[in-house]
Amino acid sequence: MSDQSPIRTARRTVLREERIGDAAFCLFCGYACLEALTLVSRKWLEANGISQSRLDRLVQEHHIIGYAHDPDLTMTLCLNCHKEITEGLAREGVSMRPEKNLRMLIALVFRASAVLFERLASSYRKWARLLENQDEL
Amino acid sequence: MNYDIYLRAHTRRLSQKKQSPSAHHDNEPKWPDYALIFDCESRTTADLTLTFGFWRFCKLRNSRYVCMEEGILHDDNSLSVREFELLRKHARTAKPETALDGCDRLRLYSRSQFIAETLGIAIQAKALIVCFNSGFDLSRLAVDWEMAKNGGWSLILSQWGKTKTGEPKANKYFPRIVVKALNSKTAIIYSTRAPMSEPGKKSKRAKLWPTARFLDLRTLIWALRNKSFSLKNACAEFAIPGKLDHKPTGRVDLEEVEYCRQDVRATTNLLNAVKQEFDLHPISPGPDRMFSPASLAKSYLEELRVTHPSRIVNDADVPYGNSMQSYFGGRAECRIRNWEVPVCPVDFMSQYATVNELLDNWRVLTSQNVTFPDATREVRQLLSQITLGHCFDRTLWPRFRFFALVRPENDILPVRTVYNGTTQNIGINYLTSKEPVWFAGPDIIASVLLTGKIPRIEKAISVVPRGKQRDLASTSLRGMVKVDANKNSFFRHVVEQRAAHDSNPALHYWLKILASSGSYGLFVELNPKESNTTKLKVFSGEESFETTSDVVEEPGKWFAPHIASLITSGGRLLLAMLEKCILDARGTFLFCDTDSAAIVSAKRRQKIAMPDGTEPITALSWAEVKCIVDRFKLLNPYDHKLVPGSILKIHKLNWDSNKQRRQLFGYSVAAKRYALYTKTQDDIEIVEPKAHSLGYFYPPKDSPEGWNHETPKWIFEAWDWIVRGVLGLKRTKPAWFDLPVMMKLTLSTPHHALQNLAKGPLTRPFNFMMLPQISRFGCPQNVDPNRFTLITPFSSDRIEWMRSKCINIHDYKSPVYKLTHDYDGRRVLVKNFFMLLEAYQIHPEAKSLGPNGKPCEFDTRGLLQRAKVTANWPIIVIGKESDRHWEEGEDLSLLEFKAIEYKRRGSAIANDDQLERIAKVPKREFMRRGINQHTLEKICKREPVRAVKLEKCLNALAGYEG
Repeated sequence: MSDQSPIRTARRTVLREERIGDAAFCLFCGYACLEALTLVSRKWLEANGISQSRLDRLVQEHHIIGYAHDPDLTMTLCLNCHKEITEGLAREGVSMRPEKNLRMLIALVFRASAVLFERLASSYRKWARLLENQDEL
Repeated sequence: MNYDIYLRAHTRRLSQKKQSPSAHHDNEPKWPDYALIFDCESRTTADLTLTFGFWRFCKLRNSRYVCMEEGILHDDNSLSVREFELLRKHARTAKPETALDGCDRLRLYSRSQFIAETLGIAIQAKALIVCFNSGFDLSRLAVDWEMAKNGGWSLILSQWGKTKTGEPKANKYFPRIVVKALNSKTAIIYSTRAPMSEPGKKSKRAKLWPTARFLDLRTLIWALRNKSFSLKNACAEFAIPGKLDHKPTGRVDLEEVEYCRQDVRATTNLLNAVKQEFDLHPISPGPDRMFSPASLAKSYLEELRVTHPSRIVNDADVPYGNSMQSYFGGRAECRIRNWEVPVCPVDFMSQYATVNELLDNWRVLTSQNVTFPDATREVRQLLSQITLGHCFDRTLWPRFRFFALVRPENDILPVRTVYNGTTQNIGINYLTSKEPVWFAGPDIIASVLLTGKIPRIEKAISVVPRGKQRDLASTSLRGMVKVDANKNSFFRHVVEQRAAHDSNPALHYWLKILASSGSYGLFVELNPKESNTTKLKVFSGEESFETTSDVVEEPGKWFAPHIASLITSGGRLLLAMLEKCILDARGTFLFCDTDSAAIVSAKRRQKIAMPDGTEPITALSWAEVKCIVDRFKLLNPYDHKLVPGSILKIHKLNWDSNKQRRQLFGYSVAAKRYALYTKTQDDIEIVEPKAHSLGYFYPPKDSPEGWNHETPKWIFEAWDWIVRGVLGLKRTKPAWFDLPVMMKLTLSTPHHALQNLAKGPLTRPFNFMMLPQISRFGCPQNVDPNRFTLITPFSSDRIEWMRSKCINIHDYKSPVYKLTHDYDGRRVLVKNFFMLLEAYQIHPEAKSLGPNGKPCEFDTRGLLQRAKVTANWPIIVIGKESDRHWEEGEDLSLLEFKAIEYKRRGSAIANDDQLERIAKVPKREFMRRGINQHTLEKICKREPVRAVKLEKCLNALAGYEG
């Protein structure tokens, strides 16, 4: 994943590590990608009306180029993937604030799409590998 | 002659020290995950203001720092439009040298953007801030500066305007960077923990900035190699592409941009290369905690889990007071003055490590407990039997580990006093004192060898280690040489392994550094810290008293004066043994200096005529010198298979480049002022000139490219000129003789005299300046010569030096002074190099007597004699006699350095000058002015009286005189 602002990424990483530790993982699924983890308590989840049955199948709508630029261009992602791809946008320097300059807006759309396609590419590879391994088996 | 003698003391704070929170945490990684590397370019004018710089933000991947983002920074407003356009164009067109997943744009930030967007965020990301010579680069970024509480610089990086006046003031929500320079190579650098914002509504406590970690690569390389490197030389040393061949112009052009970018590229590569080497050392502290080679040695002792000496000595104050009183530095003296003699220089191998091994100091260091029992009877018995032969029995040396209270009467002992009327110096002289003084065992034995009589011992204590520490561990030196503190003596093992790894030059060299840095200095580490009227208890020998001082000597963790004092004393005993061997062979020596000496020696034994009809001396034959050298084989404490032969070596200078033995000649003016040379019919070639008292002046000429001597070429030329003059050989005046003598200083510590000056080239931290050397009686009329020290902005253009415009640092309203060679009362008569060398070669060896038994004068020549010193009583109790952290000519603060003197509270003694003035005044004049007769008598007898009474007496004296 390209990173257009590694210094800010470094700061976010360090702050995250300070907040949730560098070896943190999701208690539900074991997911350990720091960028995707939010420190919440079970109490918090329950207080926010999320039942046990729903905790396993959380999904969110992802705005591919940001809500400010196109509120309708969305795709459905799980909570983790949503967090990861949002981090990808941040690293790519895609601002969530409305961009007035048309040239910069187009550049922004390309960058946001690049992030999505990179995610898709890695996802397709993963699926391909899975299929290849099944063949071997 | 009667002298005031100065003895060192051990001090303990009576008021508890306020513990400042440590800037470093134990759990921080040795190498952080990120590093910000930058380098700044500046104008070449005197103010050296920032023009632009390059930076790289790197991430640690596979134990290398990989660049993720690169950028340019430029000064906020001093660039011209053209210069700025050039940088902007470069930022747009140049490709950043970042990793594939890094930023693909070359950033262009102004200084303030860089501070906020890069440096500030890097501090929050806990990145290592890396520079080569950090002090200079960090201070280029500063918009303002103040004196920090610790006496260093507090650099202000961010400012905002006052709401009412719009005047800039320090942004209190951005950290300052504090740079406390310890010496020219090392500085403690940290950022303050400023609040990040106003306290929030919920929490009253504002979040603080984390403390940044700063790494000066120059310091780290010095710690690893014990040599100070420039970036260019360091790159060559680590075999990486270095600087571009370009002389900075101070402008912003493409060449300069490429030059700066290459510097940052080189610094990044150097960081990775140095990291690779540093990681060989299995030690815990990070690279930013390495301040000198001794830091590395201390880290190894920590790895071996050796307990700090202060924890194994109970009730240390009194024995430490005794040890400090008997503590003196290395012996340096000139024996034959202003007379050419054939010589054979010799030196002791790893002298302090060897002495440690001979005295079995490792056992003392690793014992569970060290005690100081009374040993008066044993010491008296030892001294009554000791001979030179016994001293060559190394099994006896652990018995020399004692301190004794001696009532000296013409005993040859180290004496620290003011021989020349201005500065303290140590001489090995005949000492007589009505009151007893503590001395270290080896010094007393040396006296027995040289005088043949036993000093009067009042009492003695020995240093006895008991048990062995249980937690001692093993480690691997530089990851290659195993050392087990339970089995090996550290000092011995390091020297042996150095010899064993002769085929690995890097390891061999580093073990040499470790042997010297880990054997002595750390045991007498005292860091003077300014502290307002701190209450202290002073222990020096038999005396202890309470006093107050503005400077406190903070001991280092490995402070062990009982070991340090014995080490230097053991070194002096080795020299005394060498002297005795030479005397027994009826020879003499030209000079000695800590671990080396130049024996008067020729191929065949011969008589050497001495000046003024004095008795000729004998030059020992090379074979006789070899016999003396071989005698020291008996003292070799190392494994003879690994370190064969004698601990005294014939210096390699005695052989030419074809490995043929050659005859060297020596000429010495005073201690540490000598030159060794070879001679043909009517020509000489300087082989080894000593740069002492010359080396700190700015070179009047640069050494040529490829010059591989440590001593610069102009020193060779200076000595060549001196020796040719003495020998009556043809000589030509060097072209630089008429240049004014200048000292280059870096403003690495704030100087109080500059506080009142407007911010400018002479006040910006780490700027360079020149200090012209004023000729005697060369001050303009109507100025006080004692308060007249000129400074001027630095210029490497030597032709411009005479046109310098100078100010007096003692006068903040100083007019501008000009320099001249012809005194006119208005301008300042400056010393030139010709005058400097003329004075240099007549510098008297004040601590010795001439051949006629009279004090050594400027024209004394021939064989010098030891002076006879009768100690005035009471002694003067002092702290560090000189700030060894700074060499002369490095820092402005050193110009006013004064040794710490611990005054007995309430009592004072008149000095020689005051006594002389008092003696000229009739006593009744004092009594008329209300001075008590008994008080006056006490003052005249140099007895202590209450300070107020002495002051009253001096006031009366002043009243009479004026």
